[in-house]
Amino acid sequence: MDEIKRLNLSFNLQRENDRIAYNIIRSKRQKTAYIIKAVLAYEGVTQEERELKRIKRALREVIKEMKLTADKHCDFTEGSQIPDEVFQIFDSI
Amino acid sequence: MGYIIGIDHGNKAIKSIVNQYNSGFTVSSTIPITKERLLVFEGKYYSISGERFPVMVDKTVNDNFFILSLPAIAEVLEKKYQGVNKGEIILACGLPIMYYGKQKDKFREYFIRDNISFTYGGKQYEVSIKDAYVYPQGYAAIMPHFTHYKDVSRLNVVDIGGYTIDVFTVEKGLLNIKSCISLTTGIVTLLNSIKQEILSLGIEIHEEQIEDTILGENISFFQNENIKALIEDKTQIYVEELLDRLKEYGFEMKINPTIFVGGGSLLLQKHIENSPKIGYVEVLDSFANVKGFELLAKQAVSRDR
Repeated sequence: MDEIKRLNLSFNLQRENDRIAYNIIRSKRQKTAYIIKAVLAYEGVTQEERELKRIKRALREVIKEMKLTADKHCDFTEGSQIPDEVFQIFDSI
Repeated sequence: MGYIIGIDHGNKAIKSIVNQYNSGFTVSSTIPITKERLLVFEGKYYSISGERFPVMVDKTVNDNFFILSLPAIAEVLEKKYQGVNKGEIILACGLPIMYYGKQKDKFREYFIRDNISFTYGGKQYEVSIKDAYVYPQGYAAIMPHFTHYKDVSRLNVVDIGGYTIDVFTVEKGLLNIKSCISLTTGIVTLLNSIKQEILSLGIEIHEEQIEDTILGENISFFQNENIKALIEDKTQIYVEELLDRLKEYGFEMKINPTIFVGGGSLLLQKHIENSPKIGYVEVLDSFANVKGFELLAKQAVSRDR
């Protein structure tokens, strides 16, 4: 198992950037795969990713110019309608 | 509709969406010197937090946990509901999954009261708790992420609380009730065993110092740096023994993802993530239960309407 290495990251949730990054990573199911992809994209390892990065930057500028922003106060952005079966479980316990 | 307020009544800490404090207070009939976290209720002065109370399995046997809920209500009204100080409240709270069936009705009734008048942070509040929705801790914590987990065939959930560790599996988003086990070796047992061992060296240490050391905070113990090593070793052993016990109970953690929730999990995060005994792991933040309680209560209220 020498080929498999683990990294232990620490986030200071009092810092906004740390908090945002932590929440993004936490929300991903396949964290390692996501981080590999993100790091390679950030470092511009491939031409395709460099291109993607350029498009994203351009999109961000357009969004900014059009004054489109996300609702930061929106609760439970990850939430979905909880199915009835879940509430039935509570009743059955 | 009333203001929905989620509160996680832990034996170690009380948590709302905006604050958390130790599950303890000191009470006096005269105004104490410090006004910080001062609650005035029914003619008595309560200095909230400080040392936590001893563990209580049934939290309805006295008014302690009701009183401990009032600062959470005040701060949520202040910070989430734009400073209102009057109104009807619907509490969203939870119980450990093993006590849920037996205690949920009693716990609900414990909180329902009209015309509650108290002062907190120098501000007067007049509220009525019209209902209390009670959910199983741990399972509620994963509800805000339900879409992420609903297709996972088998997921382990480990809720490390102050007194209990509740463990169960969730299959395609649904709790498998038969899988639930509860161990009475919560984080308080680790803290107590460390305290006792250090006491045997003639040194008294506070829980906060132990917690800061486990979290890797840069604190120093004068001429006693070996205390850090002792805390680290005891914590490492505690985590490894816990994972071994879970394996014994049939929770497969190498191939099935495991979600850790509860304040204890956050404290042990580094040790859990570094253990070779576990494959995919996620540690949810210490407010995960509260967020779940509120989400479920919101949906329950809209279903009832």
